[in-house]
Amino acid sequence: MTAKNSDTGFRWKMLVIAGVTAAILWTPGQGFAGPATDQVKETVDQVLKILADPTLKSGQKTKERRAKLRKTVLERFDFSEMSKRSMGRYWSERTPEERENFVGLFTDLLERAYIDRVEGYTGEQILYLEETADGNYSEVRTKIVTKRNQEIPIQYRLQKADSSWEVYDIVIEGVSLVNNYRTQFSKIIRTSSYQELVKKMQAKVEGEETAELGTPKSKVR
Amino acid sequence: MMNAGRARQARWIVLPLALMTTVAVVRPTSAQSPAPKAAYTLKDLIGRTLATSPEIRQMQRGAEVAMAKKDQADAGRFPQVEVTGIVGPSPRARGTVEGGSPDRKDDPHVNNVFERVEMTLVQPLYTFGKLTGFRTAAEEGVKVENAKVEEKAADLILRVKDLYYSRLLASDMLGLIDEITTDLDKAIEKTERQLKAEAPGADEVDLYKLKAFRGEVLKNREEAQKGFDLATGALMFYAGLDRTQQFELDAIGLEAVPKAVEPVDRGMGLALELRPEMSQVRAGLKATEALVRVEESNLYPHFFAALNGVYAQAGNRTRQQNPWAYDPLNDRYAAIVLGFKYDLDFGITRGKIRAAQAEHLKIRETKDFAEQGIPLQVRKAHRELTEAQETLRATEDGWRNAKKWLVAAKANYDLGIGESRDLGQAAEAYARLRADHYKAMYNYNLSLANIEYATGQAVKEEAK
Repeated sequence: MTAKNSDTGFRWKMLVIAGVTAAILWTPGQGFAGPATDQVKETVDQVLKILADPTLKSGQKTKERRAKLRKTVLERFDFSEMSKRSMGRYWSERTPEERENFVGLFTDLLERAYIDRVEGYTGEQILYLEETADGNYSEVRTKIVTKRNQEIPIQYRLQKADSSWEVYDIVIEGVSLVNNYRTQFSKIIRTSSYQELVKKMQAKVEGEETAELGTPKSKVR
Repeated sequence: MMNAGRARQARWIVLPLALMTTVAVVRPTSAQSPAPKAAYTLKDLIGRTLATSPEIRQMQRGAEVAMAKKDQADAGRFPQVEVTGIVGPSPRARGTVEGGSPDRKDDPHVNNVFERVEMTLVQPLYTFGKLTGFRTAAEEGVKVENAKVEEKAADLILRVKDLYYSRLLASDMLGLIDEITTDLDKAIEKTERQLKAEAPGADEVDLYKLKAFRGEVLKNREEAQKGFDLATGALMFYAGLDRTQQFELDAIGLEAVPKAVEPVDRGMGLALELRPEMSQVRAGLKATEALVRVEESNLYPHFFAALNGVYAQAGNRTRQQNPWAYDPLNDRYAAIVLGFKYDLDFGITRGKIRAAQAEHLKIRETKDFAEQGIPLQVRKAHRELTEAQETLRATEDGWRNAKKWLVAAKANYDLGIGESRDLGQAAEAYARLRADHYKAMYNYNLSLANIEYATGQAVKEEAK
C-alpha cells in the first residue's frame, strides 16, 4: 500500500512538473516557433514596417513604397517554384523561353495582388500558431484576427533553399493558391490553349500597368 | 417601521431579485442605478434593468399591498377595542331617586361640564373558519404578488437578451456589409482606372455588374444600421442609461457557445414547477378556496367575548347608588359578556358563496390551461433550438465554402483568368450564407433564452 502510494505521489509530481513546464514553454496563440516561422515573421514584420513608414504614406510615394514591398516579398517568395507547381503537368511541355516568360507574368500579377492586399492592412492582429517541418519542407500556420474578432487562417508552405526558407504556396481559408491555379490553368489549356492562358495574363498585366500610368495607349487607326 | 414578520415577508418578495440586484427590500425606493461602465456584458445589462425598472417597482408595490392585506387578516384574531370619549354641558342634578331632587328636568340649570369615556372590547372566539380563511387568502395573495414580480423579471430578462443579441446581429451584418463593399469598392476603383486608361481587358459590363452588386449589398446597410440603433436605444432605456452616456457592449459580434440544455420532458416538468405563472395559479387556487370557506362561515353565527366599560362623571350631579337608577353623565361600570352575531338573509349569503366558488373554478380553468400551454411553450422552444442548431451547422459549412469560392474567385480575377461574374456570384453567395449564419446564431442564442424562460429558470440562471 505504502509503495503504491509513493508511486502515485511520484507520478503526480511528474505530471505537475510536466504541466508547469508546458505552461512556461507554451504561450497561447504563439505555438512553437521554428526557423521557417522566424523567417516568415521577419518578412511580414518588414512589410508592416514599410506600410507604417510615415515617409512612404503619401500618394507621390506609392511607387517607392510598392518597390520596397516588392523587394521584400521577392526575397521570401519563390515565384518560379509557384509557377512550376501551378502549371503542374503542363510545365514539362514548356520551352525554357516560355517558362521564363510565364514566371515573369505570374510573378508580376501575384506581386501586384499580394501588395494590393497588404496595402489594405489596418492593424489586424497576426498570430503565428504552429510550424510543421518535414525535411526540406515546412508549413507555417498563422491567423489574422480582424478588429471584429474574425479569424482568417493563412498557411505558408515553404521549402528550404540553402539557409533560407522560401514560400511556394499560400493557403488562405483552406484554399491553396497553387492548387486553385493548377485547376484553372489546366482548364484554360484544355479548353483553349497555353497561348490563350498567356494572352489572358498578358492582358491583365497590361491593364494594370496602363491603369497605373493613367493614360490611354495611342490607338493605331 | 416594519415589524419582524413583515420584514421577513419583504425579503421573500424580492428573494429572486435580491441575489442579482441592489433591490433588497420590498419598499421601493428611488431607482439607484449602478455606476456606468465603459463596456456592458449581458449580465450587467440585465442587472441594471432589474435594479432600475419601473415595471419591477410597480409589481413590488402590488406585493406591498398584498402584505398590508395580510397584516389586516392576521390582526383579525386579536381583540378590537372601541373607545368613545365625550365632554359636554352638565345640567345640575342633586339628590337621589329615593330622597328626591331640588332640580328639575324641565328647568335645567347648567353650571358644570360632564366627561364620559366608554370602551368596548370584542374578542372573536369562534367564527367557523372566517378568520382562518381570510388569513390563508391573504397569505396566498402575497405569494401571487411575489410570483408576479418574478414573472415581470423573467419577461424583462428575455427582452434584454433579445435586444442584446439583436444589436450583435446588426453589428455582424454591418461588419459583413462593410467587408464586402470594401472589396467591391477596390474592384470598382481598379476597373474604373483601367477603363479610363483604355487598358486591354477592361470591360464596361464588368463595372456595371460590380456596381449593381454593390447597390444590392448597400440596400441592406440602412436596415442593419436601423436595427443596430433601435437595439442600442432600447438597451440603454431598459438599463436606465442616459443617451449621452458612453455605451459599448463587451462583444463585437454573435457567438454560438454550446450549452447543455435539460431534455424536453424534464424541461416541461421544471416549467410546471418553476414558472411564476404556475406559482400564481397554485396560490390563487388556495386563496379562492379559502375565500369560499370565508363566505360559507357566514351561514353560521360568530361567537365572541366582549368587555364593556363606562366612566362618566359630572361635578354638579349626585352619583346614584340605587342599581335601578341610571345617570349616563355620572356613572362608572364594567361588564364582561359572551355573545354571538348572526346575520340571517334569504339568498344573499348563498349567492356570495356561489360567486366565490365560481372564482375558484375560474382559477382552476386557468391552471388547466397553463398546464397544457406551458409544456407546449417548452416544446416549441426546444424545437426552435433544434432548428437553429441544424441551420447553424448547415450555414457554417455553407459560408465557409462560399468564402473559399470567394478567395479562389478573387485569386483568379487578380491573375486575369477569372470572370467578374464569378467574383460577383461568389461574393453574393458568401454574403447571403454568412448573413444566414449570423441569423442562425441569433436564433440559437434566443432559443436558449426562450428555453430558460419557458422552463421558469430565467431568474435563477441570472442569479448564478
